[in-house]
Amino acid sequence: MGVTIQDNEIAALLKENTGRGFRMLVEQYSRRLYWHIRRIVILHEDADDTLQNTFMNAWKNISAFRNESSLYTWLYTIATNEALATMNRRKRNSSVSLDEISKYFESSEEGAAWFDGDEAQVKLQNAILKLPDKQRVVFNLRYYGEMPYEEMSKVLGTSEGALKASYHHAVKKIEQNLMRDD
Amino acid sequence: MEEFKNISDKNPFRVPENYFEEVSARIIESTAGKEPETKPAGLLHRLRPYMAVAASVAALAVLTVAALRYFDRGDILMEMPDISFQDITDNYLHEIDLLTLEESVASTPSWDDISEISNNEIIDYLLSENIELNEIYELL
Repeated sequence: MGVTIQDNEIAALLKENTGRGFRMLVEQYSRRLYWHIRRIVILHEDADDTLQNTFMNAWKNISAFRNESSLYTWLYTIATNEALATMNRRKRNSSVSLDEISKYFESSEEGAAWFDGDEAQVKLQNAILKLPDKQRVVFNLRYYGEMPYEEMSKVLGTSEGALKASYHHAVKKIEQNLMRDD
Repeated sequence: MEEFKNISDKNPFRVPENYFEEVSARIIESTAGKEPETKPAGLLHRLRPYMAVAASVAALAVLTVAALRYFDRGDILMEMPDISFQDITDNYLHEIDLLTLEESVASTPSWDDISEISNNEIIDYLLSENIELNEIYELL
């Protein structure tokens, strides 16, 4: 996590040859950012769009990246904002609400094609989905992404103390939701 | 220890075959031959949100004056100076902090939203705003 040798190489290449640097950045980060986004937006189609928007945003603003934060932090910040924007757009416009996602995974052929979890995993995903969006981001980054609080604090612009409390609160709520579903 | 840690942590989500190779190529291709933006956004673009708020405030002021005149409440209007639309925009509008106004308008929830907010959601929001947990429990 944080600034890696590869990040430094990419940052140097971006200054030298923006096109080649950006290519390296996409190859290095597309998989990691996709999974970060996918856990927030859940649907593959939304994750695909959001990932492209993230990189398009990064490309447009590449001159604004000045090594003040790590590439990793910068990209995760853009990806998180884009994913939350996708969620907000979906809440306003889409016919598929997150409340119905569990049914979508269980019953729809399309949903089943992109979800391969057992019953317990469906329950866990449902419990996670009941969290408010930002708290869900905190939980996913910590639990699945194992991101240190210090790094998360830079990505989300929130104090480490608040993030720890938020994660603790999220875990409690997930446990309560799972117990309620049993 | 979290109870759900007994649940498999295998990633339950799937992607189409060769998705990551394909999406990387697609993203790189979409930027090929293009230069990243370097110039700042135009003045008109940057001022657009403020102009929208200014127009809303002006419309509200005009509607208020029109409504008061329409209902012709003599006792109220007697105390009100005769303010024209031009006076309002010249004398009052420039004193308003448009950014603050814009933020407050954008973040004001409707009553329907408020009535459905639970304590847990309030706690989540306060935590995300860096309010200490002890203070939150004192407030609720």
